[in-house]
Amino acid sequence: MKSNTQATVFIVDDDDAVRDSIAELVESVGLQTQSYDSALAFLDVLEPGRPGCLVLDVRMAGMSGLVLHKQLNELKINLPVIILTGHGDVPMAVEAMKNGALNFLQKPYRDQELLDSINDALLQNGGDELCARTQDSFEENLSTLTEREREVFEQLRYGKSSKQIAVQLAISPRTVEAHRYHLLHKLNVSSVKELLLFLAGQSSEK
Amino acid sequence: MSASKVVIVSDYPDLRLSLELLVTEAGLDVATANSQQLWFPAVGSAPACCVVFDVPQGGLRAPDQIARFSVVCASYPVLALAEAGDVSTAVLAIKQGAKDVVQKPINNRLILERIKLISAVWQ
Repeated sequence: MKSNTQATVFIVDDDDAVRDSIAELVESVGLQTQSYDSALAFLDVLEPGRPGCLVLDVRMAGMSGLVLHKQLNELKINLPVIILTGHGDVPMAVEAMKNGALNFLQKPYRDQELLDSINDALLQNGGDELCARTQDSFEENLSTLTEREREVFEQLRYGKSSKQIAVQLAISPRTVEAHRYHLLHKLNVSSVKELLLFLAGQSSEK
Repeated sequence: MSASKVVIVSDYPDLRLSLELLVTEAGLDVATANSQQLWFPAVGSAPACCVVFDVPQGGLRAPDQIARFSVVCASYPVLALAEAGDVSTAVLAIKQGAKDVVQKPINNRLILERIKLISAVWQ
């Protein structure tokens, strides 16, 4: 939850009154905000990797919110986006959601609905970081495996049993089990099942 | 192509018929059902390359309805049909896993394009 306390809610809207009211609402629950009056102003100061979420208006002078969202996707900036618009229609909502927006709200929005979306967004953002961290440490752990353990690992990930691995590597099943025990310990997972689930989760993210 | 069907789910017989004709004319296999039938495995188990789901009147409200809808979305690529201007149903449908949403009244050319796109990705 540490990232949550530092997270910033970025507000991009060309209407002063709307910006102020959202900022006031968000600050009332103790989150920090930063407001920008155009998409370009936001892009100028954007720091990739900074935790937070973006509350984005669609209709603005210069660059529209949907275009900004696409640009963020192209720049591979992983900032959850909540679209807030006074002129929403079904095709626009569908486009925004397909682009990966977390939510698409229409003005007048209900305060609690917006806050719930922001909380979801911050949770997702924090969660991603956590996920990236476990992935990093997994890679690190992987590099500590011995050559034999690595071979057993490669077989395990394709769902081979100890006996099959033993035949493949021309060692006894008991030895395979010993290697398996050590590599699971080094990779910080409690079972092969957990390992496979983790690997499956990893590949689906890519 | 012939192995899987486009399944049209709507509570309006007229809409089912017109979509059925449209899709058949485009050379795709079609099955139709009403929304009650979709919730049961009999229809759901047919191999479908695209489920055109006309969201029942009143939108997706009840929690069990939303849950069933997301199960269908997890099994098949779903193209949802929303009432004109019903932004919240459209957003909810995509959140639950629908691949696309088209609003009524149906534009024949547009919906056929979307159905083909979804079926092509699925196959």
